[in-house]
Amino acid sequence: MSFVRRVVAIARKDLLAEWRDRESFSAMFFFAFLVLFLFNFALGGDQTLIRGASSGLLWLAFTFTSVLGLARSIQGELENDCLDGLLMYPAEREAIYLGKLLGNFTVILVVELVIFPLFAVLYNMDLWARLPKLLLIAVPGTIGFAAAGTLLSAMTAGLRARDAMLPFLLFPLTIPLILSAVKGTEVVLRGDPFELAMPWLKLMAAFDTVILVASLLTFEYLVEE
Amino acid sequence: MGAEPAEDGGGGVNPWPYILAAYLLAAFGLLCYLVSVSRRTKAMRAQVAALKRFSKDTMR
Amino acid sequence: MIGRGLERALGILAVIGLLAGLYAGFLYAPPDAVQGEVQRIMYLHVPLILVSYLAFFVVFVTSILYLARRCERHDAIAHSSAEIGVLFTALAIAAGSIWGRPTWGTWWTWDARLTTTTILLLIFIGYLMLRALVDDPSRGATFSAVLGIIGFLDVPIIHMSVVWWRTLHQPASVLRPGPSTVAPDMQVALYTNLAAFVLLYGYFLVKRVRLEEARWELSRLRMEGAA
Repeated sequence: MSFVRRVVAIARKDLLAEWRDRESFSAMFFFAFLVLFLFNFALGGDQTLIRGASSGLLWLAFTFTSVLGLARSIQGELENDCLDGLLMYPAEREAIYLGKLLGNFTVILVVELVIFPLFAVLYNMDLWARLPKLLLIAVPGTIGFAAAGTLLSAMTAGLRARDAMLPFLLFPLTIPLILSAVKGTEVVLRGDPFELAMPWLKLMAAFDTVILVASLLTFEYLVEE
Repeated sequence: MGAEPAEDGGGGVNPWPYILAAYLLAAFGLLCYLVSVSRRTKAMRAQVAALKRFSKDTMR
Repeated sequence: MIGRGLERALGILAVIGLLAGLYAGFLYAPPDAVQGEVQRIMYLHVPLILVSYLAFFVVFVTSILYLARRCERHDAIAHSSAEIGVLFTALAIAAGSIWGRPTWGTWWTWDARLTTTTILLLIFIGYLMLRALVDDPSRGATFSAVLGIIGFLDVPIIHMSVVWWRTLHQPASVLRPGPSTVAPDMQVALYTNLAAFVLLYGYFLVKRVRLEEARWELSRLRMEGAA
């Protein structure tokens, strides 16, 4: 089996397991909805304020939801001793990392795609025409977040304070990503020319490159016995 | 430049409490860390010495 | 094993340096033309920040070395340097905040450098927490090494993103910590204090690593006793 095939096989395993009961996906979806809903009350129902902060709110919802998904993904491995089985699978460690990353990324992206229309309805915005550009911002952001998250969840999975440690480690590291995603989304939502979003896209590309390379180089150390 | 009185940045605010606060806080923090490391090292070394004495006694 | 001689020498040099730094900062250097006396906090704040960057760089290098060679000493240096780095960063931010109050009127500002430094602090507090939570020492060392490498590599990206975030919204006149002009005698004071704090860092590092060495000896003795 080629390297790519192995990666896809690992991702497929995760996604199939997820598809069977859709437990993780439902939890993430409802959580994202709840977050968006609560923000309305947190900002006192002030519509101008909310519209001004809308990109930030969207990405807060995405990131909190992603953490939920990431934690559940690795937890599932540990609970059923799947990780040991996975390590016995004749694949390079990098393939395992990329496979899990692909699985996580797909789940998060699907949740985002479902949340976009919900967001449009709750905050009364027309997103349909802007969706391609929004995705252009969302995809690199999600890749980076999933990449860092997959690496860190491998580190925090066995810990006592796992639920607190994953976000505590993940968020400071991914601030440049969140910042860029919010700024980029702002540009799109305001209808500004897309070139204004380019610096933020470049930043996300830089982050994604660094995190992917670093994770590929170091993941094997995290899962070796 | 040192001869004439310099302007205050805050327009009449006395800077010295702030300067003192910053330096004393830093000194306090650094000293606390120093003391902590020293204490822990001392305790560790005491345990090492005790263990050495114990093994020496049991070897007789 | 690191010798007591080195520890003592560094300690003495550090004290001399700090005293020289205090003299330079308070008596030798003139007050700032714009900010007045309060600018003297710079001789504390800037060295603390720069040395903390040095400390985290040391964490970065020793983390890579540990993953490559699995030498316990590299792990000890990484852990120690991270602790000292966190301490220095926290003190630097506190000093900066105290400096900011009479200068800008606020305790806090989302200035690019201050924000980046705080994020750095958060990352390495996370590093220390991870260490504390992982029971198996070898695993803890490995996980921390990975985190140390990624954390440090992230810092330039964080800095760029925060700077762009600020400059696109800041008006041209933004107050930043620093004297209006860096007069030569101010530079002397700055470098003296910088050297002093580097020596202090060295002293703390040696002391802290020796604590780890004592711990190794203890566990070695315990294992021998159990055999």
